[in-house]
Amino acid sequence: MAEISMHGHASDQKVKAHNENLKLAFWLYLGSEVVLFAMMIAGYIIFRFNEPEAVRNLHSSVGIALVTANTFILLASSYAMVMALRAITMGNRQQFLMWMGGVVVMGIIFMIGQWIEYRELAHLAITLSADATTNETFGGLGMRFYAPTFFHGAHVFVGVLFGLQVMYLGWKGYYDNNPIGVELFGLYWHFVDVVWIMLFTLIYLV
Amino acid sequence: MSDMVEVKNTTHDEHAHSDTVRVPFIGEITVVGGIYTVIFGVLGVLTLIEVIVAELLKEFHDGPVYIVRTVILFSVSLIKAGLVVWFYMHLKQDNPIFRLILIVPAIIVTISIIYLLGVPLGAGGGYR
Repeated sequence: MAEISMHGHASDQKVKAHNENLKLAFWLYLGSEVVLFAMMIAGYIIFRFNEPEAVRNLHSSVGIALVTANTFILLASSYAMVMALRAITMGNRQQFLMWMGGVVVMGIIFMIGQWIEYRELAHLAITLSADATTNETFGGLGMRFYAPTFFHGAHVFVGVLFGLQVMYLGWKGYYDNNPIGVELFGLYWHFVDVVWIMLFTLIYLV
Repeated sequence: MSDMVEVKNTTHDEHAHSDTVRVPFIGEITVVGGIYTVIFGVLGVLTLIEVIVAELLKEFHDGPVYIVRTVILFSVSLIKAGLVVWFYMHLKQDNPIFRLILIVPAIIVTISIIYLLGVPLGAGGGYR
């Protein structure tokens, strides 16, 4: 009996150590993402300093209603994510699936919002190749704007697919005893949210 | 007797399961979702503050008001990001090495941006 208990304890420690390793690996991946996003943000900041008129024109032409709504949706999806993790750690698979469904749906709504915004920008001739000679109003804003926002949108798209997979595995009962997979997806999704929090202020408000 | 191991989340600790949470200046409150719901409410309010400040002061493109506006917006943004990282990503409870993974690249990029802002755009511009 004592042997079984010790064996159980050893396995418990092993799984915990494995979880910690997975989390360290995932954080290192997120560290590399910080560098990628930061480089694009740096490019935008330098443009913002050197061409303030182009950014001012963007703000007065587009407004912030749509992007503010999108920001609230992404914040709400982050809340749904953490509630999904809470539900699965409390052993409530039904609630987990409900909250995860919310995460995926809100991710899709965010992408639709971004697509509507891009259409609006295309009508203003804000394109990847535009510069001061082809677009006097916005200059070379296009590249600096699309690089970080589209890269972020691509992360939301991947997040939606990742979320669907986590939902499927959760539905199969894969996380009932060890929800580390849900926690790793949560780290990814919250990171995408944090990046958007910074982009929203930097690109649309300042 | 089964020796099957059930490993619940290692950082998603017990207090995260509680619906009762102590809020500064308000005291103990009970709300579904506990601390996570409170943080979500704070994030929503901070976002509203950001949008209101940005809209009210949008006519100021330079001078002290513009600087104050920019400082307020970035401060609120950093607080929001910090709340998500601290509570939703569990950095509060996790291994401190994870904080370094996030902070070190951010510091390096900040230094790079400050340096790059001083580099002249064209020939003969000189450093600011």
